[in-house]
Amino acid sequence: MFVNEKKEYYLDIKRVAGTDTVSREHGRKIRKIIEQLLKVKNRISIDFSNLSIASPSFIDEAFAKLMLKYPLDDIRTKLSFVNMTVFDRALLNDLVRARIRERTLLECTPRGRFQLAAKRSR
Amino acid sequence: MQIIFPKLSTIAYADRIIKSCVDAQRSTKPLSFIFEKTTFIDPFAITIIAGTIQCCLHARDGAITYIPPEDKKLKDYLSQIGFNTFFHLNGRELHKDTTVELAQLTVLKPLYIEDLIILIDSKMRLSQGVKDSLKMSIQEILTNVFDHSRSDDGCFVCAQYYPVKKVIRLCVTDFGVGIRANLKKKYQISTDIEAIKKSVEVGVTSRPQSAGFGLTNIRNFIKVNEGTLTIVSGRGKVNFYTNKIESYNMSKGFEGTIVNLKINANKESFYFLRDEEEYIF
Repeated sequence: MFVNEKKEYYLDIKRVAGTDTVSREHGRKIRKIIEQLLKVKNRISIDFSNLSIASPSFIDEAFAKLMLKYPLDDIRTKLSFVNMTVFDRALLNDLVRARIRERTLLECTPRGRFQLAAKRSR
Repeated sequence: MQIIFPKLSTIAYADRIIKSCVDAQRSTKPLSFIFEKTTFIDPFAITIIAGTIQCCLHARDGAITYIPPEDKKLKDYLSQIGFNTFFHLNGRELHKDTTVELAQLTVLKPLYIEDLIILIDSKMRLSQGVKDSLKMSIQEILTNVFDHSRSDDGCFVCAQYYPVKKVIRLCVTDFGVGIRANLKKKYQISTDIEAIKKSVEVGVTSRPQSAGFGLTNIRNFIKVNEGTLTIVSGRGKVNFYTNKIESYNMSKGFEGTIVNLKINANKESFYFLRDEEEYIF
């Protein structure tokens, strides 16, 4: 039996973003990196090294917005968040829930479904 | 009889304001509500004065004089929150994103409660769980008023955000029987202060079924927020802070209950419930 074992990819936020963990612009850069990795990696471990982000804009743009493009189950299987402060984890979960709600609402209308499809094709 | 309100009509002058309002309600003489020298008024004073004017209007068929403040800023503010027109018009006042206008509620109005939550949420970072919990708590406080206060006028509610101090003040005032009268049927209570302190304990309610989480939840939120919950009922006034409780005996008893919240609003803190749903990540 052939097994293709893919190793977990380790994304060190501190190394990749440095101190750029505040604005939406910073978050967008991280999201682009994650989106590229999602195409080729099965498991991505995002390490915060206990860095305190505390920026809803950054967390929303970098991670929560992925919910508008990818199915939740996919993201839950592929992404893990490690060494994250309690505060940031709560914030992440709240923002993710808000994006899931937004997605559910968009899926209810033809216009919303079109917007979601446009996001996915980008 | 002239009811002259202090320059700063705020919760800090609760005793004086309550005394004036109680005197007004008991008086049989023609009344003048004078705000001439007043320069600042908070939701605590707004709700209690609005309720008093309403009670007096009922009792004396409109024979009341209202002298507005000389201070233009305060005059505009009172007009903006609907204070001037409150007793004559039913329409909603235009309000900025810092105010939830004065309202008299005789039934639960979900849209009004939503406005209160929107105001709080716009100035702070709250998780959905905290928002839902605050909404439920405010609803329960109002339900208590409608079910138990035995006040024909329901309650008066008002909220204001102060950007300089980054503080939200929210006040619910009713002119009913008060906390002690309600709780003494079920608990052994001898003073108003005791009754107020009891009312914030978990599960304390005058209802037979399980309830009584409204004030407890609010108290817990205020504790974490490092704000202040003030409850006035009868002769008792109790301030609940994060780590201490201050109680005062007032010179004149207030017939009803006032629940006043001072919430510290800033965007640096994020409020969430410890057991809020299961985390996705």
